[in-house]
Amino acid sequence: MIVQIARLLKILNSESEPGQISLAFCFSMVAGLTPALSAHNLLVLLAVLLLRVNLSAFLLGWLFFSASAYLLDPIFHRIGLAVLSAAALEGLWTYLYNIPMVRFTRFNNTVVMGSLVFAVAGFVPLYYLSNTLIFRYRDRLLGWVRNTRWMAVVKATRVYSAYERLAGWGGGA
Amino acid sequence: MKRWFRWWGIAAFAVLVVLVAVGWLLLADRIVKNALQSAGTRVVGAQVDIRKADLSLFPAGLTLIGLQVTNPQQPMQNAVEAERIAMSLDAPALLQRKILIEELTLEGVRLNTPRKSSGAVKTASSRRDDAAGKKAAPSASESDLPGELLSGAFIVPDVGEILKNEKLQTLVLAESLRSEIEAEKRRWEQRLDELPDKEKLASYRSRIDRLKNARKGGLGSLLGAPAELVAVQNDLKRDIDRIEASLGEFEKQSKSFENQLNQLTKAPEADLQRLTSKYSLSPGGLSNIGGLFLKHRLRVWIERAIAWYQRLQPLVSRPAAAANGPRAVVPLRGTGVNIRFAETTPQPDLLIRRVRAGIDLKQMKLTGDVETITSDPPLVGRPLRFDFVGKDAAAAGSIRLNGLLDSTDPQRKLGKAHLQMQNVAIGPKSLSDRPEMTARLQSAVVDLDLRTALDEERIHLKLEAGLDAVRLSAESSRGDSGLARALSEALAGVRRINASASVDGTLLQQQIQLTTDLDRVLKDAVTDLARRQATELTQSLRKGIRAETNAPIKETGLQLDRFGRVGDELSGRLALGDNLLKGLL
Repeated sequence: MIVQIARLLKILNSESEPGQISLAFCFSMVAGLTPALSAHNLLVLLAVLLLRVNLSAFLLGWLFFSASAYLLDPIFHRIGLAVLSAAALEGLWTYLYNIPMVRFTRFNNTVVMGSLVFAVAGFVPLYYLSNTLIFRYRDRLLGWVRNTRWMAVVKATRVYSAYERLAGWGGGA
Repeated sequence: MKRWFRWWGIAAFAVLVVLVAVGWLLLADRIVKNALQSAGTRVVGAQVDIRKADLSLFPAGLTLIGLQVTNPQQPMQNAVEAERIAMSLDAPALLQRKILIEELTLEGVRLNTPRKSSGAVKTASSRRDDAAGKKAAPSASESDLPGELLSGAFIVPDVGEILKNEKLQTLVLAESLRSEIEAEKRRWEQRLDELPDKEKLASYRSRIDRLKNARKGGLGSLLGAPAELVAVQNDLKRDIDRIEASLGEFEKQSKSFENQLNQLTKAPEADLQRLTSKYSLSPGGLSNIGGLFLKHRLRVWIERAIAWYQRLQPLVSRPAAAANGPRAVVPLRGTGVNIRFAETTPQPDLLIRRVRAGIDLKQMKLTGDVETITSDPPLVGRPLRFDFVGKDAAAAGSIRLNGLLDSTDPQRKLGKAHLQMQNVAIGPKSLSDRPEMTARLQSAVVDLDLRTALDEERIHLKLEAGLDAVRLSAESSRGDSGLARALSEALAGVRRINASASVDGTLLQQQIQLTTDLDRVLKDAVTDLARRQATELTQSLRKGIRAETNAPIKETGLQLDRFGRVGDELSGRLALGDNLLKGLL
């Protein structure tokens, strides 16, 4: 059982380059901010599983952004309404609206469209911001965290030992 | 490539998708069932239950087993129950979130069946009303028929009870007059203090005496006396004028109170007339008592029909989709707004082209079709039509119900329905369940022709009905007056009833005109008894009202007497002033 948990942790914590973690955060923002049952989230899930991104970061970010979405819904609604009502885009939306598979994605919903636009617009900035923060964390804070008592307790667990052993087999990024 | 991709991710994705799809397939029936139940409950305003839902994907279709729709007015009864509902769905349209059904079959439909548990639902507003202790306004079925008229007819009214429940206008007037007199009395007492009193008037006498003595004095006194005399005279005149003006005002006020007292002494008679006409059954009132029984039943039917129409109407009259430009519809908190765009091949959100239904009535089976149920009639361009036929082999009876509801013109909604019944045997029906008298139509054979028309909010209905082989029963359970007995016997003897009715008005309020030969039968039976009872009631009421009102009227009179003392005081002061003025001149 412990080995299995350690294996899961290993999979989740592989791909630990800053870029891989940042990309995971960016995907989690798209999945978390947009309504969970939106069709485009299938593509996000495929991308997350197919690309070498950090799965732990994705899950953590998804939880964080899902919670934030409740507060941001009114803003998403306004953005979505503005985008869907834009006269210049009406032809495009009308064309898409008449394609059954596209309409099924609920792109014409103000919250779906607003949150997607917000998440896509924030994708690249978040990537660079996360990268910068991860670098700084590793430079300045990681050493201190490793020496905390809490970390010592975690390292003493059997799951951690098993995880260390598995990580030593050559897994990871 | 390996640096960027982990190929096992595709397998993981496929496994996840398959797991989700299998989970959805396993739970789909339950999800659909719950969604339909909660949507139905929201529309009807009472519990809608479905025993089982079966959703199939290839071909797309849905079957519902054991549908029960609670009657919101009677939560222990289902308005409609259906054994099985089957429909085929247009799968590509579902992707566009549209429900297009070519044919829907309703089997084993029954009306007004009992429920095992209450189907009442608490809405937010009803919960608020409950918390505030409010009670909903009674519908025709609750307030029931003849009301106070029946109370008078079937129970000899107890005068003590009447006087306890009714507010006598005499007492209200007496109380109001007494407080008015009291307030005016206090005001006049204050005013008396401000007016020249006897002491002040006495001071004039001293001044006059001093002037008289001065005349007897030297030359100096003699020279100043006329000016002083004029001053005293002016002062006195001014005070007398004030007293006189006040006395005039007081007399006017006093006269008004006397008039009111006079009206008060006549008020008991007005109370008597009001209560007599309310609690006794006049022979004139009996002229339409038969109609009142049937009118009540008719009103209940109309109310129910309109309530169902109003509940279901929003489902089949949503405005057309935007042809030009985007349009926002129904915003819901936290879920955004769906913007609609023009469709190249516009289709309604809901369209059921045909419903085939079999309705099991007690005496016969009614079968028929409903065509074109849609949320967007202007788009579909065809009205909703229905046509049902039933035959009763045993009594050679038949029913036919057909009509249409045309909302294809968004500016004007039209509807009409025609119900024909020939030789249809009907079972027990309650005409009145008031405690004063329960009346039931045990059985009859009905010929009926009913036509209704709807034009926007206006409704018109015309009914011609003949009931043969009638068996009526009636009994009075609370008190047993001769009048109640006579009515019950007369009802029991009725064998045929002819009735015609017309209803005109709006969906909110209708005027019902009903004539029936039941009126004549009942009137003949009870006219003399009603007159005797009315006379007895009048005498008892007069006695009771007198006992209640004599003392307050007398007390009001005494109070007016006490108020009159203010006038005596003013008159006294005026007489004193006048005497002084005369002495001066």
